Amino acid sequence: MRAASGLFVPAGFLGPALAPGRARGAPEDDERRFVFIFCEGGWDVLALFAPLFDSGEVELETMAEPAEAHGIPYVAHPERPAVDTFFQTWGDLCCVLNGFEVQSVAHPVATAKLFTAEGAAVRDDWLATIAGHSAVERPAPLVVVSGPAYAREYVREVVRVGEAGQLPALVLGDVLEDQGVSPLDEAAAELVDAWVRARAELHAASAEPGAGARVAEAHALMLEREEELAALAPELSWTGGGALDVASQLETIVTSLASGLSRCATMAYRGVWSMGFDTHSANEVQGWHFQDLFGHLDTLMAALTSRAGPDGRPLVESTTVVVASEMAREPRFNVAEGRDHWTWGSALFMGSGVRGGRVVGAFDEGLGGRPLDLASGEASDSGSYVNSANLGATLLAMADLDPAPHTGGAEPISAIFEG
Amino acid sequence: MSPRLLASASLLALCGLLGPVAGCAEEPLVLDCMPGLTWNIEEQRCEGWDTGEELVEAEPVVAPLAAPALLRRLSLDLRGTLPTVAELEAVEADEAALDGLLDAMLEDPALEERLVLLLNEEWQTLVDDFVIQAGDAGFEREEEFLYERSVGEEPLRLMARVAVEDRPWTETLTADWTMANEAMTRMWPVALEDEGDGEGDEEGGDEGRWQRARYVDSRPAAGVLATNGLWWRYDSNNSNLNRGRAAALTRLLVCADYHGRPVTFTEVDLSSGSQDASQVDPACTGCHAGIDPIASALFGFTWTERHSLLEVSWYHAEREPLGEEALGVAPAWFGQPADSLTALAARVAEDERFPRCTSRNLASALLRRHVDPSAPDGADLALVEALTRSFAEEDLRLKALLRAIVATPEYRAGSLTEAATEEDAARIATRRVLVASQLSTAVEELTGYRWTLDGTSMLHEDEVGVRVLAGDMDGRYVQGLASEPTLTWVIAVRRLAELAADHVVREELSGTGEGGDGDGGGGRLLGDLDASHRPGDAAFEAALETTWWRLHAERLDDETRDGLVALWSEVAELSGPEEAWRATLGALLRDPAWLEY
Repeated sequence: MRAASGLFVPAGFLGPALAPGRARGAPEDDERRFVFIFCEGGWDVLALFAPLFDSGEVELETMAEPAEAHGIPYVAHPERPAVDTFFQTWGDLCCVLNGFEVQSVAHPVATAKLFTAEGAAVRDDWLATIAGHSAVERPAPLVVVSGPAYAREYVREVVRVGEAGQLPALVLGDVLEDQGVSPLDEAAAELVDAWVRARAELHAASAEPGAGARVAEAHALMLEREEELAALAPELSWTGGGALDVASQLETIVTSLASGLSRCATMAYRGVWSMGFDTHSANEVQGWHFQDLFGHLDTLMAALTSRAGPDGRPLVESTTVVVASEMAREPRFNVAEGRDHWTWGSALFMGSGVRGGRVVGAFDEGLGGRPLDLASGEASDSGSYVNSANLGATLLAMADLDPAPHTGGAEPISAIFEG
Repeated sequence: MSPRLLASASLLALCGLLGPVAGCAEEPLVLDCMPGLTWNIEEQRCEGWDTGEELVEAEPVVAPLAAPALLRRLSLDLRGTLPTVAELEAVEADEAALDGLLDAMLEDPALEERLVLLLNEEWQTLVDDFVIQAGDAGFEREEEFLYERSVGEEPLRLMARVAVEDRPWTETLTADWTMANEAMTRMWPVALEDEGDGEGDEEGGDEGRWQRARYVDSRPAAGVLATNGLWWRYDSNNSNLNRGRAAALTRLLVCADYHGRPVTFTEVDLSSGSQDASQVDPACTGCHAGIDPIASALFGFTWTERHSLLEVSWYHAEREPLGEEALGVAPAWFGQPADSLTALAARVAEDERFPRCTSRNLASALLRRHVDPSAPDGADLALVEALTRSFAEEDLRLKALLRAIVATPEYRAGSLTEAATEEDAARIATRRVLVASQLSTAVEELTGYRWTLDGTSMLHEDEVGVRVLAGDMDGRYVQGLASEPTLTWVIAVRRLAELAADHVVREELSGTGEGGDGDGGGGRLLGDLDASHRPGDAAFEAALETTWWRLHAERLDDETRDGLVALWSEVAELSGPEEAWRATLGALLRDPAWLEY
């Protein structure tokens, strides 16, 4: 079994080898799971995914070197050994998508486009859509550990942990203790819960069609899920470490998937000291972030390998991880030694269903995306330019959904996934 | 039916929704209903242009709420609290009393607080982090919430004050004053105009009391456009050259969303840099020709050092000329020259899209849906035009716009009729959930309980609080209110209910409270009740019935009463009467029907 480098592993994170999660609905709970790690601010693909060393139109870091692992060429740097370790360890499970365009250079809009292909919060994001189509009932179908999520039709599927991990404190009742209030004794609390549930059911049964029914039905369902979550809570190793603690966020994700609490999870990675990737100056910060990020990704993949999902299999066999940013950065440095916004970027897919050890798509010499043959993954003049709708279509297709109704007809990039 | 007539029919359904506020039934709409239709003044109906076919007015698609329930919705939207017993009884006795109560709500001081939140739904300045951290601005850790709200509320407070003083809405762009509190004078060049009522704000005592103020750094008069709070929220870096801010202005003020337009670098020649391309490449100039002249007017707020409190707090008049130099265009607003920030603001105030955009945004907030005039059926176009007309007829007084919106049948809808389509069912919010900010004020007014931790209002922020988890927005990652209960909302409501119930029992029954007013706005929630009262006692029955009446705006029925008494009795047997009331009140505050409106 492959193991993480150990540099970023919080105590207990990896858990006992292949320790079975709580098998909610197992073995039926064998749906593919998804993790979306959003690298906030716009990462510099020239520091990692785009080794355009032969181009005269781009500027690379002075100490950058070309490297390759498991057939994936990338940009190596002596101050980023975690990147090398990661690709050497996990490259055969990774597929890099190069040359896709998010079609905005404004952070909030680009973020919405990355998640939904729309420039505003008018559509469910990819993972909310997948969660909303799950055949298995889970208390928290999409757990949002930090960062954005977009829900419209599937509002009830999205469960935020809170930027400081507030949800565990709410569930476990720590917030009562903070206020010097003791909970009702168990028998009284059960009576109250029963009264509330009965009222919710009555309310749902008598609700008017339209919003009345939607709201009332959601309320009754959420009370059921609350009860399920409360039952699971003691088993969850939610640390609620907050958005600045990447290891704790990843732990929350892994434990949510392993326990059957969630099918999908998302988090924002904001880099070292939460500085973000928006480096209009001091672009070297990108390197700090990549070194840190890939250490955490190494740990995540090790955890997904060592821990079992609800179906008893290692999570890595049922979990697809996507790492992406809302935009990239210009080919050349600006006067402040930073890089400004750029629409053409990269994404990293890894884990279940991913055709590993390959790069799909390509950049031209000026860091523009090249048209792509969606089936082969090769750049082709007769292919099509790909954008975030194609990225989303790929995820939906991997979840066995027809992407077309959710992507405006955009096709999946089938070269990325098996089957 | 042709597409055009289909659209017309849909519009007419909407005409029915607009009711007297739009003048649909009394006067023609400004746009003759919509392009392509004409208004027959004599017949008071729309007619199709090409066929001459008269359109049959559609049946109403919504039925109104009962008067007490409508009073409850109005009160929660405009005051953030439940109606009092006296108000409910007045409306129960005579529905016509509603008009007077609405008048009173529009004069209630709580309206200003609610407008801050309603306006924030579009402006989104109530975020938890700004360009300067609280500590760097001289605030202690326990003052962080006071700091965040002071900065974030400034532009919203200015607008809310214009509204409640019934001044023309254009004054939000022309005012030479702002709103501030004592805390803000510690970090910004702002001087308070003492209004001297001596009452502190609960967010931060006297430090948090909002009042009129003026900047003392000679910044131009430009209403919200001259507020630090706006530009600390909508930051710009040295590469962006205020373009992001300009795009924010066009979105917020005239609903022109440049950021929403697709940007592709596929065909752009960037060989000489993106700054040059933005001014010469046809793929870029479409947007930049509109954005850059506005950005050019904002250079007094350009910062050379973003993390210096002094730098970002003071206006830099000497940098105003840098806009034209950096962007290569003179300041202007959509082709209208504007040689100063004051002139820019004046151009916006003259822009006919400004009141229309205000109407659209406020309607979205109060109807709890995205009002979209570009929607193919034309319904929202007609709605916005009708509201804008009402707004304009009252010299752009926001209270008039509020009155117009809450008069629409859609706002007053309690259920759908058989004529409603699936689209109507999906669109019209006949029921809404109470979100964090409403829960906070409603529960506090009802029980006296305010959920705080180390100076932070737990239902108003997200760094330690549960604002987003309880259905509200954070202005960054969550930009809309919850449309239905979520898991975290249900759990947050549970904890709020438990805490508030405990507070009431401590304050009103056990005598172990700390002596807060706990009176739920004019009286104890439980009336004359004490721990000795039992089911059947008048005080017991009155406490249950009154609490239910206030929570639901409906009378307590026998079956529900019996269920509550059974709950109370079982817990009393287990743990005594005080625990029984803690359980019963906690249950009442988690009842699904009270959590909707």
